[in-house]
Amino acid sequence: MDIKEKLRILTDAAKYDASCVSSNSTRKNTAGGIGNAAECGICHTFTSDGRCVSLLKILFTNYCIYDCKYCINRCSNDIERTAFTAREIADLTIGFYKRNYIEGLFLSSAVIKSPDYTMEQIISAISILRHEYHFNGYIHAKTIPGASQELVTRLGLLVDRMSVNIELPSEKSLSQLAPQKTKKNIISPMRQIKGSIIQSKQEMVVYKHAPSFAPAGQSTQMIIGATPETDKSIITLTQSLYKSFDLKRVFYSSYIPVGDNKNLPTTAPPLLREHRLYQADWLLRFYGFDSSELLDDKTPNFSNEIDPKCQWALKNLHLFPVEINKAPYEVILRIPGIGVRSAKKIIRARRYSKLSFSDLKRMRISMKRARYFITCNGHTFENMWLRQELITPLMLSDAGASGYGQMSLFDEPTKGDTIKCLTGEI
Amino acid sequence: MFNRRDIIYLYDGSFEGLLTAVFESFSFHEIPMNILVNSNVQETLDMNYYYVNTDTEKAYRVQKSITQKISRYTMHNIFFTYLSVCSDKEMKILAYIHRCFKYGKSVNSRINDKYVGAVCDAALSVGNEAHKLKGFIRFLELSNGVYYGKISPKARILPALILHFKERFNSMPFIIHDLTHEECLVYNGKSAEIYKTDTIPKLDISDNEEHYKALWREFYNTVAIKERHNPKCQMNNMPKRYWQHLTEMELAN
Repeated sequence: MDIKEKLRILTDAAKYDASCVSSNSTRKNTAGGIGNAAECGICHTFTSDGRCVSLLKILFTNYCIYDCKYCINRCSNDIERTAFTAREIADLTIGFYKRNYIEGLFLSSAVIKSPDYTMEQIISAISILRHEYHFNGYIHAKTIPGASQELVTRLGLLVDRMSVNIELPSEKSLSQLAPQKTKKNIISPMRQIKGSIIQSKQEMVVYKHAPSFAPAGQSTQMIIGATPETDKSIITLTQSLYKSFDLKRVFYSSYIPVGDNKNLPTTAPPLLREHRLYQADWLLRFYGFDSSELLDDKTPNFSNEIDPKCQWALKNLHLFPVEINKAPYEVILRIPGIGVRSAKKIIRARRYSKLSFSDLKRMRISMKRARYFITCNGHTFENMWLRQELITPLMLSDAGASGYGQMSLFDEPTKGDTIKCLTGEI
Repeated sequence: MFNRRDIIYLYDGSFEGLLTAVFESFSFHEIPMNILVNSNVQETLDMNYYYVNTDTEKAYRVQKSITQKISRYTMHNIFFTYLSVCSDKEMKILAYIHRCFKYGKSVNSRINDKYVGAVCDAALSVGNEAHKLKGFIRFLELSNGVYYGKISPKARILPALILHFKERFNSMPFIIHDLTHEECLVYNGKSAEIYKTDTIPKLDISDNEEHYKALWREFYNTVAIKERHNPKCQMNNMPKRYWQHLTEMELAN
């Protein structure tokens, strides 16, 4: 089989992995080497589904001994199977990297023969890149659940980011759909990686040239919509993952029907759900929200019409309006429509002069949502009257495709921002 | 400072020239009506013109005083604004420098000021375009081992790309050809230089190239998930003006 055919099969098998980020690593080029990591991450192209391509995302092989019901590579599925050699992966990566097609390599694999054997194959390909070609670009590798600790350590010393997929949001779903994987097998490498990263950081404080272990941290991924968990349980799980394993990212992958198991839904869940989860994920990591604030037992799922931050703000309207010139940073960050960058701008600028609405406009701070929730020097935006029953339909009509037409207070949210959200970055 | 409505400064279009013009404006205690590049000006009778002689010594003094008294970041803002295509950028830079000396180190926090905001915005947009192109440049391997890439950016972003690719490719020589501004960034494996050029060279492309192009297109087309087709999101993130030089988009155009 020629390399092009192999690339097609093994890319096709890898494409459902959501992660394709190349950020957080500060690996520098060495004398005589090629490549360095850009800390902010760089997107090299965007595919027709709107997702960024920054890494060469391939599987080592799609021969698999496991039979996970939701996975396209399960052994009971009748598809073409093949495997790369370590040399082919290394050559492909270097060839693409020199042409500036990619930022690095994302190597994952189905489980061939045994977890340990698969890990050894992955390590051999990455060793060629790092030691023979002196490649210092970004490498993200998947850890195979059930592989020995020693192999996880060897891999961690070669790559920038490691990840173990948690696959499904609860243990019950996991035992139903991926009977050969256990929670213990997934959690124990995550714990090991966390420990090694902390240890390596401490060593680097003492010894300048101490080997760095996965400098860009670890991440994980779960499939949503294949099992009946609510948004609330997913977000609570996410928060505990961030807290207990110091994860850099949790990725959500909306289930796409590839299996024929009776336990699986036959239709794909809406992509909007995935989008809402990512929005909430950001609120947890950068905005100081707690998962219990976002959703409770009365409303266990996010709204289709408005984003999680607005949903929270409308539930807590007694905290608003917020005075832009006085409120502390943490409070400004919680205003819908104001992000980390805008909040920082406000904090910096108001040290030198009182800010008015026209100042905010000049600072390019979006007023689309924020205007319902703020005051400047005691004034509301165009002296608007802030009440929940007024704000909700106003915001919905803003989000619709109606543009700048007359805003009606009593219209049903016909189009909602469904379309808008679908076109956003995933 | 005297606001002169009857004089226009003309400079040669170089960054040193612009800084010299700023220097002259300060030393004459006057703010000109405008600062323009001399090559694209048609003189009129009712206006006085002052030709700025580019003087590296004077330019260096302006640069030194800004980096020492304000910050290096401020100088970076000024340089990126100079690279931008925003209208009236010279006068914006002059006004910004006036505010730098008025407010001191806090100048970049006062984004609600019209001119500080304008310069910060212009610098940001140049930085954003440079960042996008760090990903979107595609190199071709020539048969002599040099890698060649074409771009058509809005702003003159070549200087902002030097360090990134130099660190990355180490001893690998490369050329980045800016078709919009007819400039070439040439890196010989040791040092980089920017040259003016108005011809498109005849390229002797290496034999490997078609093979890798085909592989890349195969990868690009396969990695998209058909069920999630979303061309609007794709175009939001990668506007169509970048597509013309992308290997994977050649067939789509």
